[in-house]
Amino acid sequence: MTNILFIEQLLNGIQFGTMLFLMSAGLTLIFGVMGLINLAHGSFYMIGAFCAALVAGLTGSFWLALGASLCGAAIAGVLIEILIIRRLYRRDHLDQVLATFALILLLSEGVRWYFGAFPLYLSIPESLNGTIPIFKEIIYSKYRLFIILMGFLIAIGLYILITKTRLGIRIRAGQNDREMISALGVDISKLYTVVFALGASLAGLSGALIGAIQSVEVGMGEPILILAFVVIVIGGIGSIKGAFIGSILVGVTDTLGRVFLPDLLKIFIEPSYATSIGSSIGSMLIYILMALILIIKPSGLFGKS
Amino acid sequence: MIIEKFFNKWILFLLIIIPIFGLIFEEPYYITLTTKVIILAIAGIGLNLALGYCGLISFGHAAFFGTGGYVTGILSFHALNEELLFSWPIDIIGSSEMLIIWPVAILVCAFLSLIIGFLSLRTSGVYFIMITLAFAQMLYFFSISWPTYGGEDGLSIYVRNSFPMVNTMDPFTFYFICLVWLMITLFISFKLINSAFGMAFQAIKQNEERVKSVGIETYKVKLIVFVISGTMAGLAGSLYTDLNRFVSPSVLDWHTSGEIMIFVILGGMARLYGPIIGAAFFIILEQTLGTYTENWQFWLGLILILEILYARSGILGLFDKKKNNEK
Amino acid sequence: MKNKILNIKNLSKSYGAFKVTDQIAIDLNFNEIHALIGPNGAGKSTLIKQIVGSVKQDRGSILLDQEDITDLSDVERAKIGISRTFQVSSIIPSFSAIENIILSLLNKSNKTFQLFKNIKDNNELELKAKNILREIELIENSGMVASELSHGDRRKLEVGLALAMNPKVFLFDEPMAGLDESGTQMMINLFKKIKLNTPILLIEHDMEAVFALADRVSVINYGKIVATGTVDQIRSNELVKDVYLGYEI
Repeated sequence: MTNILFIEQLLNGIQFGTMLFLMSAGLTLIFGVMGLINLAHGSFYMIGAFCAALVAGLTGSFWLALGASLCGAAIAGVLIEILIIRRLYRRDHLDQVLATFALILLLSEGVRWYFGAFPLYLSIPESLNGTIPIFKEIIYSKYRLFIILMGFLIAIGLYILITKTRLGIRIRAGQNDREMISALGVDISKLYTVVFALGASLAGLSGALIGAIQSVEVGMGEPILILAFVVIVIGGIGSIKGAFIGSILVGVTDTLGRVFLPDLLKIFIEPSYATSIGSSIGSMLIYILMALILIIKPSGLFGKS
Repeated sequence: MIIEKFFNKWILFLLIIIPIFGLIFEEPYYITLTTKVIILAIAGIGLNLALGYCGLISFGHAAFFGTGGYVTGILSFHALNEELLFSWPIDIIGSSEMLIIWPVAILVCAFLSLIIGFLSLRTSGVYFIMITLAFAQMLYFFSISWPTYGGEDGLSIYVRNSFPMVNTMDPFTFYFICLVWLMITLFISFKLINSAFGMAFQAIKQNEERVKSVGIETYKVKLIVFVISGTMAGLAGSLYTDLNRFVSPSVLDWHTSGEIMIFVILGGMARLYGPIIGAAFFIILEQTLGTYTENWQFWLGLILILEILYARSGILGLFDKKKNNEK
Repeated sequence: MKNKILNIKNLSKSYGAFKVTDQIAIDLNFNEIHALIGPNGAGKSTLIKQIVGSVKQDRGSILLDQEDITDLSDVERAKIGISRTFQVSSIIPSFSAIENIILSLLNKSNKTFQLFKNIKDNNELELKAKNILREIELIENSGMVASELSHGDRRKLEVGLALAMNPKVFLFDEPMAGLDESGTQMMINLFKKIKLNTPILLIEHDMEAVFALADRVSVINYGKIVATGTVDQIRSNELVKDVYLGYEI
């Protein structure tokens, strides 16, 4: 039994990790290319989910809803970048932190105003409902497998984008030397808007995908945002590879930790204590992991020291 | 400078006059409101030392505010229920005496800020912001999942803790206790800023490399400022629990960290009375706009963004011609 | 008898395959000004960073007054007696000139961790600071905010900050940069006075200053010391003329 449970939870962890990757990739790209710390990134997650729920409600199509999440988040990203974010590039980190924090308030309350305080629902499409057998006795949720697949596809897509396309070259150059690429004639402000919108749309997509398993509500992006920060701190700010490895690490550690730590502790401590202590420590596990990594390598696993 | 001093005197005056009116006209609401402003201001004064004067962008001060709050709640809870807190190695009971709770809260928060500061100050820049945020969130999630003290629902302590010879449940009495603490923290802050040590940490904000090159151990300086800052926030948290007779995980949440930052920024960073003005402004907004709409934080967000983009030196800065220290 | 205050041996640092400093050996005697000259990109900045401790060397050793400081951090080296100026003035912008100096005095006077006493009550520090400001001819502007000082005054303040540390050795990084005639002359006179008590390792491009001041000159090129000698020896050295390729030295 435990083996099956383990694999199931491992897959859950990977699924969680891939969605975290969508969030952190955008966050780390935005920081790497523009030097901007964006606390409002979680809001795009929320916006994507809300757009998806809205469109799903209107059309009944999950696939259109996913498309809507990408577009909605991208459009929001472009608007916000043009109106507010671009004034922050030259500011110090404190200003960026405060302004983007204020942006969260603005967007969350704005969405709450429009949609009300009750959660919306997004349902898993028929085609992905139910379970599917993988490896002999293990059956796993079709939808979660789909998410894992999407996550990996997007990771590959991002890899191709960054390494093989012109945009990717500009992004990588921008990460290294901003002044240089503008001197070389690249339209910086357009590049920045594109990168920002790209990050936002990835966040929006993950919001929509998770929205179908959980609920779509205001503030749903915040816990994920904090985790995304932990991921990019662990992986190294500016590194997409770091974001990927960090996400999977965090996803798996968090999921497995929460599930198995109480049981593990039961060997040593009285069961009732073990459950509460176990789940408490389980929820803190990734932060402990982050602290350990930072002690050994203050700039993260793949970050520039 | 003159206008700033004028403002400072006025805000103190209001902090005294309004509760007196509340006392005379039997409107305890104003007394309690002023008390809330005072407590949040204390947290802001703490953060201002680290953030405004020393440039340490800690997005996790809720960790200290909340821990102070929970220490108070837990000690009271155990005293009320006459349960032991620990029985090993010695029996430790709870307490509902402020004079005992305050030192405990202060010590615990000092220790916590020492650990978090020790680890976080090894990083800088964006990493520092994120790691302080993450540590606070860690405590937040811990408090939600720890069932003994209410978990997500929080912990009520029903009766305020006691202080010898006075009735702390009386709003004006409690207000006065908090006012004294405000004066103490203002005084400590003032002394620190004008000391040699204060010179060092204020210089670090502007040019850490230079400070190092004149032989000052900046890590040590930053750590000490961080600990003092966190301890003050912790004390404020303790008073906050007594104010509300309730503590819940939301005091540890990053929104609380953000709000404390807002008091400091809105009022004017690196200005002694800035956090008081910022806290007052915040509470006024909450009380006025909050009655019209649940979504008042929308407007707070908007004001904040406009302030950051166009009026960077805060409210006090608007009246100060000499802004060469700030952008 | 070798009486060296600073003894650097075999100091090397590479970035990848690029050797920025290559087995540098340089020393400083008591009561001397040793000038280090060389074209841009020769490795002077990296050498300074290694001596000061902000860059860790790959190989080599540094002895200060017979004591091995190779593994000490930058702050520790500053405390133990290495004082430097920055090529681009590095001051505390919102502090006044005198406050900047007082900051520099804190370490030696052990007052850094004085948390409660008002710094303005400290007459001793103020007096010391004023003396230093007089030395660098900045006493008239002592109360002026550092960010509003002229370029020349800032360079003077840089030197003042170094003086305040009362170190065992000075490392001056292009202190004359951007100074006018009278400023340069003041610096020259000042350095001549300083060296009587404390030796100076002087990195400079201003050749007149170098000739007026240096007891010894070393030339660095492509990360290596190519020549060391007195001013006259260096002036007549063919290799050095090559290095400067037609520059009149």
